[in-house]
Amino acid sequence: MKFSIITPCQPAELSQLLELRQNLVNQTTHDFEWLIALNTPLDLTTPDWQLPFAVHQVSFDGSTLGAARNAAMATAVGDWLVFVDSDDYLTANALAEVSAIQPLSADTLADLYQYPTYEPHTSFVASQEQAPIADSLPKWGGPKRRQLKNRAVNLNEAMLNQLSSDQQLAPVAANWLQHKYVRCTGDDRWAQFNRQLKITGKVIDRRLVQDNQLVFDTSNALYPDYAFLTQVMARTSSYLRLADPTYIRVKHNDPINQPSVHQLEAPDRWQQRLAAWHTSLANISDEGLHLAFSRYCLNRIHRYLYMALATGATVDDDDTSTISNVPQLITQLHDFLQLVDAEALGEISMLSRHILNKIRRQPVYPHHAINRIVHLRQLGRVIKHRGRGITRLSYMWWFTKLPIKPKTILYESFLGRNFSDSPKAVYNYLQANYPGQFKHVWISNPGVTGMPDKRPNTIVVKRFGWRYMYYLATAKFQVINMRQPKWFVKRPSTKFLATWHGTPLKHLVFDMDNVASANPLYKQIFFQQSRQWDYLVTANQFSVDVFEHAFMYPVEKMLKSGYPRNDILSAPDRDARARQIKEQLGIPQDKKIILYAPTWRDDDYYGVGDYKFTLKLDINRLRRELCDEYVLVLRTHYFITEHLDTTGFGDFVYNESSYDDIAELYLISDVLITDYSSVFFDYAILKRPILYFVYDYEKYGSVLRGFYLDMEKDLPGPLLKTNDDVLAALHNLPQVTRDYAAAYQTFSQRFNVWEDGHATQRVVDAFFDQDDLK
Amino acid sequence: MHVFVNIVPQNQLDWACLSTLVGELTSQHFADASFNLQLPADQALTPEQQDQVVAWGLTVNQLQPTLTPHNYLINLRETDHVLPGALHQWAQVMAKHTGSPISLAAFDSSEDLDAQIMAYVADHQESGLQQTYRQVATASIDDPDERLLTLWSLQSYSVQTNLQNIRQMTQRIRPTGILLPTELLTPTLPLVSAAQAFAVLRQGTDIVRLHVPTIQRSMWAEATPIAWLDELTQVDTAQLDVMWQPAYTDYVQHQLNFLLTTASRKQLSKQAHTTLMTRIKQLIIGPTHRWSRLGLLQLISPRLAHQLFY
Repeated sequence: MKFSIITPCQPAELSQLLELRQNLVNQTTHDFEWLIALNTPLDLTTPDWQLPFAVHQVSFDGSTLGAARNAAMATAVGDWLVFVDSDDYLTANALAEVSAIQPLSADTLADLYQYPTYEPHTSFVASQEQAPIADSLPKWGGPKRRQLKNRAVNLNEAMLNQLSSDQQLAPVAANWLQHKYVRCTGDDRWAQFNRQLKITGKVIDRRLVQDNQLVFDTSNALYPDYAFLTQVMARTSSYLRLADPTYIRVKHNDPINQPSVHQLEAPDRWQQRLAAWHTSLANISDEGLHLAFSRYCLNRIHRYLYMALATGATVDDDDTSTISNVPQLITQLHDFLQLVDAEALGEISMLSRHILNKIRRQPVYPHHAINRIVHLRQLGRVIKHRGRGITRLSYMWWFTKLPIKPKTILYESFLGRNFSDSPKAVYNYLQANYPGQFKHVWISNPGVTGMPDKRPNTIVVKRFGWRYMYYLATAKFQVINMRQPKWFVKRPSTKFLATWHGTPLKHLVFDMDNVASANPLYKQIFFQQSRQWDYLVTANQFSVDVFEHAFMYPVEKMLKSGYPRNDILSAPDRDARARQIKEQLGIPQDKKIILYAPTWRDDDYYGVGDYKFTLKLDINRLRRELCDEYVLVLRTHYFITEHLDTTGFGDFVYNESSYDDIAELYLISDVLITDYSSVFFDYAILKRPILYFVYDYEKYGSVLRGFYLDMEKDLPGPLLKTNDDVLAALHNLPQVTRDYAAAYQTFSQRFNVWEDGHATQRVVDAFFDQDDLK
Repeated sequence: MHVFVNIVPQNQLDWACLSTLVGELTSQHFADASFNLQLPADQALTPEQQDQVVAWGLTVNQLQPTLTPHNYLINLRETDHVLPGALHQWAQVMAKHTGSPISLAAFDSSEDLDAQIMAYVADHQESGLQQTYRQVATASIDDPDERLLTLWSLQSYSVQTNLQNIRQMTQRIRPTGILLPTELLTPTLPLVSAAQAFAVLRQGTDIVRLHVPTIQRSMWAEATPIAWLDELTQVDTAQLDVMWQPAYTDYVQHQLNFLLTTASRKQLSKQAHTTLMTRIKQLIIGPTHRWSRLGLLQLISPRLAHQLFY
């Protein structure tokens, strides 16, 4: 048998193990056995487990990864051990590619070539079923600058026959051209050292391991691999890495609920890491490897340890070092540094060298020197970016040390894009009912108009500017409707009101399978940010239930108040205000208004060539048939409206996409046409007809599966797929109203019972103490 | 998967070049390929040439690539060269990315091929692949076959999605030297044209780039600048959508500048050069840098520009 695949598995990872099983079935060669190290019983006699290769379950003592791998290695019979973790998987040709390499000598440390990703296995498999591409890999999850771009082209035998000379090509060379790989040997033996030190995806000769009794460290829960791998490296003369990645390492995008070993919260992580390095380095006799491993360890210390030890580098006054028992760590580091190669120590930067030399001489904690190096790095980063980030650094270093201003409120709506939403409602309410009591600070992006900068006790500050940083650090109250910056420091005695910006329609944060956002650790970051919220405003019981699991936010900290922004829709003077807004927008009072507010569809669903800037709603036809009675108000993504020429439509179309407050547009409109946007939750408060123009309903299917609502059953209006349907509905709105009266009633009961026009008052009363309001 | 190779004369058909190119193609023993010679209406073959063409298995003006999936068309000029193993390397990539156009890196016809290969190999000697190949190879790099093998050892491709990138536009829309999936061809556009390649590019979501040269050719802008200008102007910008129109207009302006620079270095007749200047002057739109050739051409006559630039 060629290979023994070794997979340690925890009971919680069973579902991933089953995915890996299918992945192994899909391998182009089955000349292997699969050894699963798992302590939970697994019934391998069921038909699901009748596979084209042998499967064995191995139990082990203890619970560490090292113990699991050791137990599996002890029973292996294949020529080569292949280490595959249960949450990772292989490309179909992975094992066949290694098999094809001739010769693969026993003193080789082979590597299937890890490819990191945050895309879950299931999601990648699903995307492959839709559009299979022979060489496609999941979305890159490593550092951007190291993203894999070039793929090697293996040649075929027919090509080799084209050589002009009669000279026979060496078989090894011919084999290499057909199965390319990179080999580090001789002087380059320790190149790509970081790669060599990762156990997953490695292919190691079994006899080499068993003859030398090489084992993983069973006592180190977090770092069992170093001791084993360094010994394997010492006994192999070359490192061989396939030219194309075949081992997909799935990084966990939800470290809160499903942390990988590297993401586990462990205050003694550095202690364990140092212990593993110490044991490994002490056992290395090869000079070259000793130097290379010393370099590796020092580099890690230089890059990561200081930041973890530094105080005051990221937050105000607490010692927030994540490391427990620092004196013990320093003693451990002192001992470790005695072993480190002096040449490696001489290669690191001067400041770092001074720190390490000091610890090497005596186990003392050079606290100030460590803080200084971290501060200098932060400053260096700002200088490198020509001053960019200087305000944020000032926030970290100085502003968060200033006293809190007890009567200052900071507002931000949609990341400073406009003066709107619930923060605006709270602001207006406080200005009307508690005039002169507070200093109000609004955050605005450059160039935004309509900000309340002329109103009393109000200032507007530029987002990420100096004043913004100052007030972010010192304002006692923050009212924000999206997320605060990741580096925001929640200071003691400040209060944070998260108003959020809508009833959830699409799956949020922890309910998302695959995080498509820019930052793969979105879930973790969101979790940390939402812990800083003192209150979360909710619009209905449905939102409460959703936020509880989607944000993992405690129910008792949610304000069951309704949305302040929607008070305007239930206000007694709403008709008068509607007339006023109509006049302001230049819309004739005798015309009814159709509000069209579709969602923005991004590239995931449309190819590049698809002409997505046009509106699918036939405006010309609407105008022809309805212009006597109606006008159309457009509220779309700015990208669409920028490319949309409405001049031909005369006074029928009003493009209000950049109008600050959408609630005011609801107020003036008589019917809403929308699709997959959550605007209809708010609009339904007005009890006016809603039409859903879903011309691409079938195409949108995969997205709809990620919705909280059933679009077929739960909506208070008809799903219309063509312009004919829309026109027919508009011509006969009373009929639509009658048909959907019951659905509308149910919908309102479910989503809008709290919206009675007094939500702002409830929010203000709950958020501010009576002392604050005096 | 079938490759249709369509050979078009650069100017008047150069028979010697054609026979060399056909030799290079047929010696690759690539079964799934057919070759066609596309002659302009004003050119014809002599009876002897016709016999020879038949002996080569070359069709004349009979290319009708079936618009079925999985097939590819590549246009080449008879002055181009195809390196050994090229078709097989193309086939490897075509099999993996069927349906995507493939742009090919190329050596320049005006320089010695061997010298270019040596320079290329020397430039990439730090590459892990080449270093590993040198470990397993036994022959010296001085051997021509070994040089070729070293070149093959470096072969790689990438899938590019930045389709509107102006700097890479030339390699993606030139009329010759690109593998075009036949199902994406537009029958109403000339088969050998920048407009055709551009239409193919616009329909897809990505393009594959084969990095190590497999062909040797002259740049259109250098070899036939007026023809290249014709190609660029034949794209109907009014029909382009909002994403492509500004990208293409910018690209054309860059090409005008490039043409001005290269044309002054190349051997063009006075008349051809002045014609080129006149054409370029008519095409300049938008702001140009005051001290660039394009900016200067806006101010002076093409005749004076010829005297100044040439």
